[in-house]
Amino acid sequence: MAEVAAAVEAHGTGHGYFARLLGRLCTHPGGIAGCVLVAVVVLGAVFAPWLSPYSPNVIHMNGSLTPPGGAHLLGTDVFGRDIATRLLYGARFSLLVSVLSRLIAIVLGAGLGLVAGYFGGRVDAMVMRAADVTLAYPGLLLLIAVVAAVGPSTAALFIALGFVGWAGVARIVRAQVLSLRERDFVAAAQSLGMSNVRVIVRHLLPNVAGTLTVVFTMGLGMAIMAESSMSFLGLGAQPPQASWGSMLSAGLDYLRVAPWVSLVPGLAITAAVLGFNLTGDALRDILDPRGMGRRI
Amino acid sequence: MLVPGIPGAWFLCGNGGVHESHTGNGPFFARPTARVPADDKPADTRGTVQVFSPRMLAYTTRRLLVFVPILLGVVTLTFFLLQVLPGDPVLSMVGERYDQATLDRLRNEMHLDDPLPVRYVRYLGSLARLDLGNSYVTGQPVWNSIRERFPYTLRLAVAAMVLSVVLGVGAGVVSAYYWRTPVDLLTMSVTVIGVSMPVFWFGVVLVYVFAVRLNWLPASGAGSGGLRYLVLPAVTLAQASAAYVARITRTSVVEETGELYIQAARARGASRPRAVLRHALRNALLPIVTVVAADFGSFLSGAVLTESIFAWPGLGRFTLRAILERDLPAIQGAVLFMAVLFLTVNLLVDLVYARVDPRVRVGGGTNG
Repeated sequence: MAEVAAAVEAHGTGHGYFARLLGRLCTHPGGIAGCVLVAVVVLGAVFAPWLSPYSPNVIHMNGSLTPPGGAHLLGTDVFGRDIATRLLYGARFSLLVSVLSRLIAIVLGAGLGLVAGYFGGRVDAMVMRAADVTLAYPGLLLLIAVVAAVGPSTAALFIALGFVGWAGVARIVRAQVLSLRERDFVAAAQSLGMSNVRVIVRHLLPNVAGTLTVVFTMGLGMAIMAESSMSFLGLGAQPPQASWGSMLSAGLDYLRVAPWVSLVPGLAITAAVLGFNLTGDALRDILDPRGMGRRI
Repeated sequence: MLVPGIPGAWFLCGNGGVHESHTGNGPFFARPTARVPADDKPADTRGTVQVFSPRMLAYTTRRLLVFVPILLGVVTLTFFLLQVLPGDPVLSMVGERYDQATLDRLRNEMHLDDPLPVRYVRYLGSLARLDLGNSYVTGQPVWNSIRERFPYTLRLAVAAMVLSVVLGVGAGVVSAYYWRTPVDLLTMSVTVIGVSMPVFWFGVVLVYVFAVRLNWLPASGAGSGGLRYLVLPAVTLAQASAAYVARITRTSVVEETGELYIQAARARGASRPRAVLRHALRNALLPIVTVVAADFGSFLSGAVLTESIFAWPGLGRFTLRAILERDLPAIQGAVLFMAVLFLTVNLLVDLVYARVDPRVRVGGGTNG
């Protein structure tokens, strides 16, 4: 983590930082593939209404379960809704949920991690014990419990994903701050009479920005996976909202006669998650000078 | 610090384990792979450590001391989280026709009118007696239902873990052996897709191909315990884990092959396969075991998605049904049981490492 921080410091975090990052991303094979996949998903989500002549939710019972091809590129579901259109709107939903929930997780996690790492002592112990408890739940369990408590809805999904995600972020940020706070520039800032808040915001936060970028990107893939898993279980998106996970589970009853209804949304999930994973990997390679590519 | 070149390592740090099978960010997990400094201070002294040395004892005590508050935290969080569950459990019990007297009587019996702290203390008390309460829906003790379901989950978990280890370590070693060749590239491409593929979609594809199209294997249920029923769920559950294990294996084996002792072994005349398998793999086992153990912990705690696709009568499906039916004691009991199980598996694994690998005990990372 400190290596990431060092790399970020070397590149600077000021103006043009993200532009430069993007530039280097385009020279990394996995990064290119990842960015292309992500771009397709994002563009599809943004331009959904212009890309498709159909409405995602209007029911045409006489066009039920049309096979792919012809007027309906990827066929229709049991209600005669165009699957390609619903995929585009599903991308909107997935991206919205994952970006917002990751932002919640990052803000909470980075905030608590910075405070815990900087102050140490009792504050640190409390934050880290809370993180331990949050991470003590395996898999989707805490997510499921939170959604069960609040009742399945889109809002519940945001809250649950953000709430579950903070702990991982807090741990990483705290670990990095632990080493950063021993550095001279922190001591210098403190000896100049800067307040703790200022030291944290102006000096520590920029130094964990690179790590947060990677954590955010990698987390997006996982958040999409979580969102579609929850929607698949009926605990995420509620009908008629188009969501990849719920489209997939709705098609299960017709797997024998209309396999495309279930199989196509799964491909979309895989592509989106793969895109974010590859991009995250590439970012990590770029930001971590200890990367294997250069070692041997 | 990061393990260089393990893309997956970031998953562990990212979202609290949302992928069903690699949820390896339990509290004791962070150190070997993600190498976040642990809370325990590194001991100053190093040296040979006996199995039951004072240091091992101290380590065990320290681990247990951390375990207890986390356990209590999990109990508390689970309790309070589910107390805000909307809807009146009594109303859902009595159904359409009821009178106020019945409602009051039931409320009184279930102590629902007591203040929350009182109920919390009473809950802790009943937990100590292994009493998880009775299901609102069936009236049966939740603990009995859990005990009934758990063997199914255990069977699925063991099968999935065996598959994941065999396939994952196998593919990882092959990839490391053929490092930076087309074989490596191919294996790693397959595994990156593997970790990106949703479990439930992979399960559905398997059902479509092997049950619907080819009609070779049953699509759902556990039958009367036949192995045929286990194949598809186990493969589904193992898939993402195997892909992930393969990636970890490759990275840690490649890391080890750069070390001097490998060169020494080669100089002494050990063949390349022997150097990789006998020397490098052996030393690369720690991160691999960590991931496998964490996955096993999460398999054990009920693979909700896999079990719901295949109608596998295990804990995961039990939990999902409880949630859909708003069966509060069942949800609470199942969630708690799984979390405790997960924690315990992680704790045990941690203690086993400490016995096996002295580096763990002194608090350093594997590079330490």
